[in-house]
Amino acid sequence: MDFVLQAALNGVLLGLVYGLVALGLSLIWGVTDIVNLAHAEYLMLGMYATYWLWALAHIDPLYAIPLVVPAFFLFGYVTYRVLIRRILSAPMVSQIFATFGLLFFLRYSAFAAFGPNVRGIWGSRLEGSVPLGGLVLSLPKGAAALAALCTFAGLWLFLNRTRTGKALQATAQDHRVAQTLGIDTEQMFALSWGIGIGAVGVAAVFLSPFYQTSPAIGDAFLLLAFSSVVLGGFGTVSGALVGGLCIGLVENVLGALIAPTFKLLFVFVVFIAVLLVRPAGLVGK
Amino acid sequence: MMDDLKQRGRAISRVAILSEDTEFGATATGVEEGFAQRYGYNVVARELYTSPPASLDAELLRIRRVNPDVVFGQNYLVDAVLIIRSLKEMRWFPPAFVVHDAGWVVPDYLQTVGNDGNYIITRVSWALGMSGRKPLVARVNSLYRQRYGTDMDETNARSFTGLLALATAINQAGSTRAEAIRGALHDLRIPGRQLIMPWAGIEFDAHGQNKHAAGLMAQILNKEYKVVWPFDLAETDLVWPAPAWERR
Repeated sequence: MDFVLQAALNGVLLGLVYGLVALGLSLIWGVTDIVNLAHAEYLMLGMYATYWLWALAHIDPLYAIPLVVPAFFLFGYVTYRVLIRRILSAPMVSQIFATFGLLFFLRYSAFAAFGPNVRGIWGSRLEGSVPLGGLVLSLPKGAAALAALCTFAGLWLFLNRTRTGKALQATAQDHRVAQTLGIDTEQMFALSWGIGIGAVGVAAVFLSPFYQTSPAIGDAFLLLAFSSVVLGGFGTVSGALVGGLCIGLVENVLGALIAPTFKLLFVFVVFIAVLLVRPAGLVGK
Repeated sequence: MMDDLKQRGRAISRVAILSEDTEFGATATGVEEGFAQRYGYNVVARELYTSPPASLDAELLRIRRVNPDVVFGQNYLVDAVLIIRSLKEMRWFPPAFVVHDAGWVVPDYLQTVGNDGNYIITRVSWALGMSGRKPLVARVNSLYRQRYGTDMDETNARSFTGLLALATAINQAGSTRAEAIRGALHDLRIPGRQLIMPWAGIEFDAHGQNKHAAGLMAQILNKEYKVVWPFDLAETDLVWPAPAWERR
């Protein structure tokens, strides 16, 4: 029984982390209708930022949040202003190639700047585990899961309790109508990129104590992030959370019970089954 | 090595395999399963994953459940670091973790995990630590260091020995004609005492493979790779079983 419970606990923690990684992707997709194929590269750069703060300035990941997240908010904002706004009305193929190009630009810039070496943080305050009955709770994964819940809650409050958040939602629903209502949709698009990439910054900081980075590390998370968004519901913030949790649970519980080799197969069987019944995803409309 | 340990009274029968699933990992896993069957070991878990994995929790949980005597690993660097992190979080380490070099011998591995990377046992084809038992290794390494400012590693040693074999064959052929060199390589005999490798010598079989090629097993102890097998070339004692995390 402990075996299944441990697998489920691992699945919930990892699922929340997947959801956090997918959150920005979902927000950007929902507001600007752009599929950001470079999303996981921002995660990689965020992990590098956290690593260098730790290695050079001895700043523990726990304290890197106030530095990394605003910087990545700005990074996302600037990405929108410099690149994305130029392709907003372009055909979808152009949009896909633009973000695909951005993926390569960011990845190989990291190769050029940092080399192919693997960098990992070892000995941070968020390391180790604590016994929990017959189970073991990973401290860094637990912290990342808590950060994911806080980020989702914060974003939900922002979107539903502030004027700017409601303007962002109006822009996501129909940007032309939002424009006629006096909303600066251009600013909302840029804001969605800022928040989306800032959220990836949160994920990067909390992933760093238990996952190492290298220029191609985005490959480990890109497919899972896209799957979370699609499974949960295209462009919905809560969908990323639900989708991430489903994927984490399916891959860990079924992987541990049947065969980890097929864990992604299990994820995509569930993925296809859900989409056959609910094409808009679990919480999508 | 495992048979030698069994002869010394250590009970080893249950083997688990944790490997990445490309040609390297899948082929090595197949070979390990074949040898396990031939030598009477029981493969109790066989977990293959695609590298880089986002998590190896499910794989390691299954391996821990079957309580193996030894875990074999074919893993790249990112995976190797993740395995150590995950094992430490699980508060579990198998009695022995035996790996096929790859990510485990890249300098970044120990630079990242530090002392937590200790007690891994890895296959190596050469190690400077042999110099205690084979003085020629130290002499050649000294020449190399004078020229390049650094010690030889496994790759340098293999390249050096390959070129030595070819040069010897060309000298014995007394010609640069391909057929003459090929014939000389076929008849080549270099005794082990003239080599820096841990081999009994060089002598090619009908398939062009060296009949006397052999490997070493090294264990990471205090962040250094120490030769622990064959026992006659060992520079230190093998630590088996590895100590639990809380006793390190």
